[in-house]
Amino acid sequence: MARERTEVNDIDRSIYDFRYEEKDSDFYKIKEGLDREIVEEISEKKKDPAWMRDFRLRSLEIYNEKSIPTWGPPIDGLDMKNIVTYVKPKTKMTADWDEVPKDIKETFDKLGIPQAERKSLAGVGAQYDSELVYHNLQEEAASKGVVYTDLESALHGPYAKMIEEHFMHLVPPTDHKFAALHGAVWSGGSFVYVPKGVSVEIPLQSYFRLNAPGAGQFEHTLIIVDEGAYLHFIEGCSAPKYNIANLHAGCVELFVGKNAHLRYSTIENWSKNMYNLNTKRAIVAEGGTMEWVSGSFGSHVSYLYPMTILNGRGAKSEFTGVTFAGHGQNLDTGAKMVHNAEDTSSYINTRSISKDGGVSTYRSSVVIGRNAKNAKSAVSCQSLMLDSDSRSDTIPAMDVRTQQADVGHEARIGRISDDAVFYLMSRGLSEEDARAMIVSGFADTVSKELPLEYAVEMNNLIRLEMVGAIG
Amino acid sequence: MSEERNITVNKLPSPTFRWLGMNSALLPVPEKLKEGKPVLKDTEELSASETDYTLMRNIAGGMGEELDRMAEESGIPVREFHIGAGISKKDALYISLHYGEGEQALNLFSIRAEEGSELTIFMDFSSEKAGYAGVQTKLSIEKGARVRLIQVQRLGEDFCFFHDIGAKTGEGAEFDEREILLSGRQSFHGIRTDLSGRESRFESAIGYLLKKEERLDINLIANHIGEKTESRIDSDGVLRDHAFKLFRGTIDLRKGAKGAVGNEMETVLLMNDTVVNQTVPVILCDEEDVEGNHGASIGRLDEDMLFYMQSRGMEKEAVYEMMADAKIDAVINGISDEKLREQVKSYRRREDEEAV
Repeated sequence: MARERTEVNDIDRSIYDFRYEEKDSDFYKIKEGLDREIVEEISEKKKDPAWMRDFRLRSLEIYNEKSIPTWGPPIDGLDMKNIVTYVKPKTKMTADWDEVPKDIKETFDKLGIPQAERKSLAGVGAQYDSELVYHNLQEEAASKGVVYTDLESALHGPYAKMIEEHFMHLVPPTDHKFAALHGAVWSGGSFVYVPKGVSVEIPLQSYFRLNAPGAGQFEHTLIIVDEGAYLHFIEGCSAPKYNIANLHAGCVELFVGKNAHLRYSTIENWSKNMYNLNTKRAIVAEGGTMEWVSGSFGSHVSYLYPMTILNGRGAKSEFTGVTFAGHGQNLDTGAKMVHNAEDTSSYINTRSISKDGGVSTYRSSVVIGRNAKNAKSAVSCQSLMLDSDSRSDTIPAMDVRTQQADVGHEARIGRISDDAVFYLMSRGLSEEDARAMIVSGFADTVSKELPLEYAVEMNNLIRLEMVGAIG
Repeated sequence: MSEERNITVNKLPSPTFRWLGMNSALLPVPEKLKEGKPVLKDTEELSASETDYTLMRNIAGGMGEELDRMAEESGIPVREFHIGAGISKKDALYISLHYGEGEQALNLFSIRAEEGSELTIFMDFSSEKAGYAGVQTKLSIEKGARVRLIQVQRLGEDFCFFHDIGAKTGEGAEFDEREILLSGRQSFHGIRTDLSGRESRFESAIGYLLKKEERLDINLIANHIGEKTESRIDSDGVLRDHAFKLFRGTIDLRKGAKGAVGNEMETVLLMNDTVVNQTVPVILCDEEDVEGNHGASIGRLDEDMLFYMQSRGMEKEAVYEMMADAKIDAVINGISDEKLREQVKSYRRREDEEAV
């Protein structure tokens, strides 16, 4: 007898696929490709200080020297000769929503950004293609000395020195080819500074929308949470689907001070023509805490492994992630933990679901350095295969260099258990409901951590609809 | 050592971040290798012959293609042992290789177990202080056949050694592989089993005790190809002084391997702050109706257990020593043949006495 099965629907992305045809008169687009002339032009348009211009050009040289990764999903569909690295809407950034151009405003309205800001956010940044079009911080947070602004403004303002001292110090352009690319053509993104002892009770959110076909988005997020401070930062990303490749090679650098606490939540829902080659890294000082919550649902190809460097005694990090790979998607996600001091601890907890030919790979590394005495690390990664057209791999690595460490790891790949279905059915559930409950429960331990209550548009995102297509 | 070159071996089937340096290993290979002189015992019921590399080429080993090329080009003959259908060999085939000082040797073995046969092979590798040796063993285990391979490695402190194992199992066949690795300056082990036949099984238990500057590099691959195939991998070891170990363990659940189950467990006890332990436990899954599990525990002893032992009057160091012994003994105790088990235990005791 053929095995009966329940279908799990793909996530409904139709809400993100609306788009406005961009007229040349509304946007400034740099020519396709990547060369010195393009990098110099971006630098000029952005009125970079001299050091930044030099930095971009040095990064371009590194990019040309570096090879593409030999270990992840194929990215041969990505040709930098066809990518437009800078698209600037012909509007200035504003803190007044009414001043945002109508088309762009309607895009963000549909995504629920202004509503979310009114309801539950302390500040919002909205980036459209290569530039921020809106940035606002509520007075209460501003009065505590919190800085939340676009990175370009910060480069020319009172925090210029701070930016210079931190920008791409954590993720140097030599890190990998796409970090170098980012260094050369970065544009947009946010700068956040939370002063010593300040707790930002309600989150800040940046939303990145890439609207132009064949374009790349290279925003840079730099967050410094000073000693004893607290911040929850939410990042959302989406794009309409095109038939040509788009590229996202953003960079996030997070500096968590002594006894500070940063929670960084990301909902990534890029369209399925997107190559998401993003780099995120945090460094945590003594007693500090770094929490990552990551939902990866979109993109054609993703390489995403947020790294935490636990650099101070007693520093902690936790990574919670859920990945859903459907048709045409190859999502290579995970986390990296580097223990570099005594009494540090880390925990990675992930769930992956593959369906309809999707490929989901969990990839991680835990490195316990020689001086990380009494370090503790635990990893739990579970993957669920919903059909035989899909694929799910787990590739964790551990490198332990001190005796005084406790490192644990558990991984599990499997299908929906017949025993569990049978048990639930014996309790009166139909098979279809039983399977639905199991899939929901599988993702629930992670998805409940996602900041749904803050970002209104997320209600439209995660729809794991179990449809009773049994037989 | 005479002039040597390096070849890439022990490639991780699905590579990961390059900066970790775990994707493969470089194996030094001397320019000239001669065939080592094995001492063979209990060859009754087996037919032994000298053959070419054909069968060896058809079965992939854990160390990879470059090693196959090197072995084939060496011109060293393949010693084939063949057990006929339905024959159950009572005593283990004993292959002992003792390498003299400065020796540079290579041995190639082909094992063919026909349908329903049963064979145990005991391989004992020992040496003087310094030298180089390699062994390649390829096994064809046909329908319903059962092969157990036990190897003990007790080599000199400046000795470089590799053993590449490749096995292919027919329907209902079983391959049980046990390694007790007690010494050797630099060791490379590759083990790959292609579970081709339906309901075939592979079990691997590795116990190692590394000290001083010893380095161990392992690549273990269980390829589930047939339906309802099973694999179990247990790696248990102790690192002390400046020892280095890299364990790559891959369970590959391929499309069509419905009902397959792969389990992998690794525990490593670290005795000093100067050791390096690297582990990449991989599960690759291209089939829905399968199960793959992996667990690892690396580091010091469990605090509760240590406290209990100390409360019974034991010193912390003594507890660690006892647990280190227990890890190796657990692998040895898994040898079902009592005679072989006692023999390995006697080696173990001798190693301990020499270490004192």
